[in-house]
This record gives sequence, C-alpha cells and structure tokens, in this order.
Amino acid sequence: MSTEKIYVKNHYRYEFIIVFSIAVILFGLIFDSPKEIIEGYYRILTSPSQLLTDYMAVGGIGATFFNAGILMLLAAIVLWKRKQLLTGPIIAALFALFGFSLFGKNLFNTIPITMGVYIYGKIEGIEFNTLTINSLFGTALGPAVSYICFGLGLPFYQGFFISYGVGILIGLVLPPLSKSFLKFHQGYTLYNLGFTCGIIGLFIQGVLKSFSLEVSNIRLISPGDNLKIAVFMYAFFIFSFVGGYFLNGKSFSNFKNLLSNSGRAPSDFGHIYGRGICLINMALLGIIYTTFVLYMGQPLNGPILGGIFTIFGFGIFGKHLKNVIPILIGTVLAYALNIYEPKSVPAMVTVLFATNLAPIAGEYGMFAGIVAGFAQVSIVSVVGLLHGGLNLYNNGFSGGFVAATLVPIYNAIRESRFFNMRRDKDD
Amino acid sequence: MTKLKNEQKYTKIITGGLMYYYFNKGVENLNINIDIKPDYIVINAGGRVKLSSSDLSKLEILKNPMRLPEFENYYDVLIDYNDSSNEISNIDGLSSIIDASEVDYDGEFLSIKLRRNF
Repeated sequence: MSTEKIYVKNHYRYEFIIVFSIAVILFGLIFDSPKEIIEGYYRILTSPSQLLTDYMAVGGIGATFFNAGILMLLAAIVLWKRKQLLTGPIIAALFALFGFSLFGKNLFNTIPITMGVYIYGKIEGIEFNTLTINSLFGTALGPAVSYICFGLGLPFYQGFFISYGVGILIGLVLPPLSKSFLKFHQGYTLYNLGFTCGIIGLFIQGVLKSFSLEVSNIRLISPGDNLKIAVFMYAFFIFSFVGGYFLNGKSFSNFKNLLSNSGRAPSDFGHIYGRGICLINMALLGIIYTTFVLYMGQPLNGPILGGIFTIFGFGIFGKHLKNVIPILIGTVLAYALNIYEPKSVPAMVTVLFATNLAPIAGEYGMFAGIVAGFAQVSIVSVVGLLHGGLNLYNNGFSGGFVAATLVPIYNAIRESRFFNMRRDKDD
Repeated sequence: MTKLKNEQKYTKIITGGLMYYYFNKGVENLNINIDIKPDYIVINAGGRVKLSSSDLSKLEILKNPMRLPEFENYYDVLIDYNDSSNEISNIDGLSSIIDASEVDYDGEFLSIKLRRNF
C-alpha cells in the first residue's frame, strides 16, 4: 500500500468521535429522563445563548450533553460523508464544537453560519473541504443568530429570517477575514477564528447599539454535578491514554519530541509525531486540567467542561504539557494579584481558554508564556464588552491582541544585538 | 482567481517556505529552480548546509507529504519567510500543500524537490 493510501486510511477513522458522541448522549440519561431532556433541549435551542450562558442552567445536564453529543455526531457524519480526513485541526475543531455546545452553540444557531461558509465556497469555486475549519470554528458566533431570533423580542418568523440572514452573512465573510487575521498574530494564538469572530461580533454589537439593541454579557451558571461528571471525565481520559499507548506501539516514544514543538499553528502533532502519542498528550492535558478545576473547588459545568474538552482537542494541534504550564502559571498569578475573584467560574474559564497562547510559551520560553498568561487575564476582561458576549471565543479574541502585541516584542528582544549572542560572536 | 494564478500563488508560498528553511540553516549559496508544466509545478532547491540528526528527522515529515484541503486557503498564509516563523511548523505546512517530494542529503548538500499538482 502506498504511503498516501496508508495515510488516508489512518486519517479517515471517525469511529472514535462517533462512539464518544453517542456515549455522551447516553451519559446524559443518568441525570434526566428522556422527557426532561427533550423539554430542556427545546429551552437550549430557543435560548439567546450569549456569554456566559451555561446550557446546564438553561436545559439541565442531560439536555446539555444531548445538545453537545448530537452536534458533534452530526458534524462527524457530515465530514465523514464528505471524505474529509480526520487531521489534527479537524479533531481540535470537533472537540471545540463539542465543548462550546455545552454553553452557546446549538443546532439552531450553527446551521446558518455553516450555510454561509458553504455558499461562499460555491460563489468562489472553492471546495467546501478547504473551508471546514472556517465552518466548524466560525459557529462561535452562534449567539449572534440566537440573540437576534430569541433575545430581541421579535415575532418568531421575523426573528428567524433576520437571524438566519445575519448568520449566512457571517458565514460569507468569515473565510477571507479569518485568513487575513492569521497574519495579525502569525499563528501564535491557536483560536484564530476566535479573533475573527470577535471582530465580526464587534461590528454586530455596533449595529445593534446604534438601534438601542445593545447586547450585554450575562452570567447564567449551573453548579454542575462534580462527582458523576468527574468519574466520566477521568474514565474517558484514561481510556484515551491507554488507547494512545497501544497505538504508539506500547511506548511513549516521540513524547519528548512532541514537547519540544512550539505548537505554533500549523502544527499537526498527529502528522508529525503519530496518532498514539497525541492521544497520550491529549489525555494528560485533560487529566491535569480536570484535576486543577476540582482542586480549585470549581463546578464541572458547561463553560468549564467546554474549556477542558477544547484543551483536550488541541492536544493534537498545538498544546502540550510544556507550553500550557507557563500560561497556567501566568493566569493564576494574575488572579492572585488583581482585583478579580480567582475562585469563580469566569476566572476558571479564562485560565482554561488562555491556553490558546501556548505557542508563545513554546516558542519564546517559560517567562514569555507567564507574561502572556498574565496579559491575557487583563485583556480578556476588556474585550468581552466589545462584542457583548456574541462571540463565544472571547479568549481567542483577546489572545489575538495579546499575541500580536507580544510576539513582535519577543522577536525584537531575541534579535536584539544585546541578546543575540550568537550573531555577535559571528560578527 | 484562475487556476494558474492560484498555482503561482502557491509557488511563491512554497519557495518562501524553502528559503526560510535554507536560510535558517545558514546556507550561503542557494539555487532554486521553478518549472511550471501544464498539470503540475516542480520546485527544486539545493544548497550546502550542516544538518544534525534532529534536523534530518524533522525533514522526514517533508518526505511523506499529504495535501490537506483544510490547509489551503487558510494556514498556507503562515508558510513563508518572516521573523516569527517556526521551523517545524513551516515544514509541516509545506508538506500539507504539496503532492510529492524528494529529499536528499549527502552530508553536505541538501536538495529538495517538491511537486504540486494543479
């Protein structure tokens, strides 16, 4: 079999994603009856969904897992049918989709954005497969659709047509914008679409404000159910770890090499180091962050689980133990020193999603990563007001500014004649 | 964008990626040859560089290229020669926008031949 065929065979296995999605849907039945799940799911679909709307508080835990599982399952089936290879960025995007479906994304608000991206591909003659990342991550603006339809008090049909029109428009402008904004931070935030969606959200918020329809952030947070959810999480991560160990030929080979990668996008760890070791890395990240959340006495609710699963997904596309720890230290340090409450759900959400800046620590070192984490905490609290919570990837929005500011400074220091000893020696 | 213009764009990206790699390795004399055929494009690069065993293992990624649709029209903008590029990310990106490659290193001279089908 040719190398290409082996590659395609290995990267066309959606079983893991499909089994996980179904397991999550079934797991929801532990918390609520099917009737309660259906009623809760309806409340989720009709929720305005802006940040911070924990779907566990809106529709219950069972319905939230149903919403996240069904969305991931449908996305996986569509990608599988379209013969999309399951590469690192696609795995990261699927787990981000899952994670954010616990607090903001649902079937209703993701459809028009995906349609918009699809129409853009048709207009430009570009295959949809090349736009998959845009369509999956772009659903971060789902709350813009839900809020217009259900949050403005419009009659349903009027709200539906306006919100879907806006959603399709968002999908149409996302691909060219997201590509352009990648250059802004040069791949040093892993949530580039978060930055892009933040800018679009800013425009939407501006328009809404000019009609006195300004969106404000809310805090609808559930206490979760730590014991049952923690058992499920640890079981899943241990299963992933063991699976990765076997896939990696019952060894940890390449783990050291993976840790030496900066993580700067694009870095498909699966392509570079193999699937097995990536699963081990993903599982370790999941275990460490779940344990950290529990140690801090925080609930395993929608936003926090969303953060953990997003970190897990990006364990194959940019994040690893070595480059996330400095960010973690920086964020914790910031919360210890600043005026914000460190033991709160919004603080924990920032600690988790700040890992989008992991490539900075990977490329420029521990201290640079700590500074990036520290800066993220300060900036994220400011930028959220700009889009009023319409962009779910608020940390990606903030991360774009932090990376775009710090990376040129770090480069200047690295290239400075005072620090570049090698160049001085050569001269 | 016409097909040829699109492929010219990718030729510039691939050439930029190769230049980044060679310059990063301290090449002093680099030859790059671009050959545009009706159905594909071939870019040949060659220069004297000193590579470690770790460098050679990184180049293995380039020896097994696989064109990934999701990289095109998106991550391709990060493959280029600029101050904040990263070597492994650059190699991984290059290997995701080409169809075939030949990498040869004799201990002194590194030649890389990359092919991209239209």
